[in-house]
Amino acid sequence: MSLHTLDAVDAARAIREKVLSPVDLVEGLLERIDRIDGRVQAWALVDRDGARLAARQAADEAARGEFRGPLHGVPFGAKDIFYSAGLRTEAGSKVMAGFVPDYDAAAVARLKGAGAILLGKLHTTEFATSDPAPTRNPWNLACTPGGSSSGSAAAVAARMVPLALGSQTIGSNVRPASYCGLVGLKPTFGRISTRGVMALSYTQDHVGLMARSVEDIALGLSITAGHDPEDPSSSRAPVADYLAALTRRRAPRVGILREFFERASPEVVDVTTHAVNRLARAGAAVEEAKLPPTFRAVYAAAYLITRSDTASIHAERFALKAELYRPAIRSAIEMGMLIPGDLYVRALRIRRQFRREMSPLLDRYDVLLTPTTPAPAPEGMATGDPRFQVPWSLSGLPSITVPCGVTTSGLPLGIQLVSAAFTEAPLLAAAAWCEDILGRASAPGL
Amino acid sequence: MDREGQRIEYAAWLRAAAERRFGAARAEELAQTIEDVAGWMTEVATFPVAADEPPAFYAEPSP
Repeated sequence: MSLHTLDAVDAARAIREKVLSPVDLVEGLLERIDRIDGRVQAWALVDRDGARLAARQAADEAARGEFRGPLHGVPFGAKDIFYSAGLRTEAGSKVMAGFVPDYDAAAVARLKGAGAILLGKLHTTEFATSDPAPTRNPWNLACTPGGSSSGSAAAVAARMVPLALGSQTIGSNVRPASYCGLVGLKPTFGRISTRGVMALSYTQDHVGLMARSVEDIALGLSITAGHDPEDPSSSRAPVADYLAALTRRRAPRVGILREFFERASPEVVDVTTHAVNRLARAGAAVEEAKLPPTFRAVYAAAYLITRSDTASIHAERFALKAELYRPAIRSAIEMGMLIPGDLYVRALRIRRQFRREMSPLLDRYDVLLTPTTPAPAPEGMATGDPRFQVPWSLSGLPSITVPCGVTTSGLPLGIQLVSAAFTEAPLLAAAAWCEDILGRASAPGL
Repeated sequence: MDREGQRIEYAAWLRAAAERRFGAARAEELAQTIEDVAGWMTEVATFPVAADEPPAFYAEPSP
């Protein structure tokens, strides 16, 4: 058995059944990292000593029949904007060089509490904006893995770790997951605590998850979701049993958002249309859905809000270290300083209006469907086009990407499913049903 | 004022503000970004928002 190919659920089950040692699993993944990360460059820091120590503890506990939780002994990675106690957290920026937090981000702490082992920190674009990370796409090293969660996507796709934390403010979790042939979830705003995650926007920052199966995402969400009294954006909405929801998978009612197809490349339209036809033949009730009028303003609103928020968040650091910021985030901060307050508030009103106008549409369908990206991962360093994620980042509605095929050049593509606020359980059930029909992505040839 | 007039006015205002705050040379480097932001400001300023629509901050209704 190649240990690095195990998904999180399978690894957790094997450890619980005592047919797999966490020590062997960690060593297998470290060997994999040693073999291929020189080319992929997904990891900002690999915590070999810490992971080995945690694996030995997990193995000892398992031998005694003690299990901390459903991910006992299973490694995960965290984007390098998540605080990790005692480990450098530099956000891909010279501004944060040498910064070592003294506590774990809430999502990291919850995964560790469930027995998971933090293998290391994954490269991000600078402060999760668009100045690129060094990471390459495992499907084609000439291409970007997307961003800003570049290392999270590449590491999971390249079988260096089964589960990773990413984040999304504009399009940073779902897009790279799709570029790398993964399942990627951006849950509802407030569903997973953002405490201990370096902020970019007060109203659009979301913690995201990346894995190679919907089941792994459901397990990760079941551990990380829930109210955090120390995060003012954290929701008190009840947390469902996301794994149990997968047993209720059935053919969903699907609303197709044609506007997105009109903005996609011909090849993306062909592959996505073929996937939709397969879903319809398998029983999905598919019809076209029309977006509300406020859709027209969501891009402008999202960009004004994020720039204003980013300027406020970085104000003190920027005043001291402006020369250390790379070009994209530097100009974002500078422009954010100039946006008038009345337009910032108006953009937040547009955010609420769009969310309100989406409600009747989301009541009619289990999920809305779009291509995840307008095109496959581009060559070069630029991290690709986030347009198809922006409305859901602005509105806070949950969205997930599921692989749906590959281009003629062998790059993966995905379908993006969107549902009503705090309906992750039926969203995951629909995604799992689609995954059953469309099949999972194969492994990149590394 | 029509949308294009509004956009031109915002762009001029942003250029002047950028020159005051960051200097003329930096404002020149930001020229394309200023045009982008002026376009977003125009869209947000001119898009009809319901008079009783409050801003959405943190708290959102649960299902």
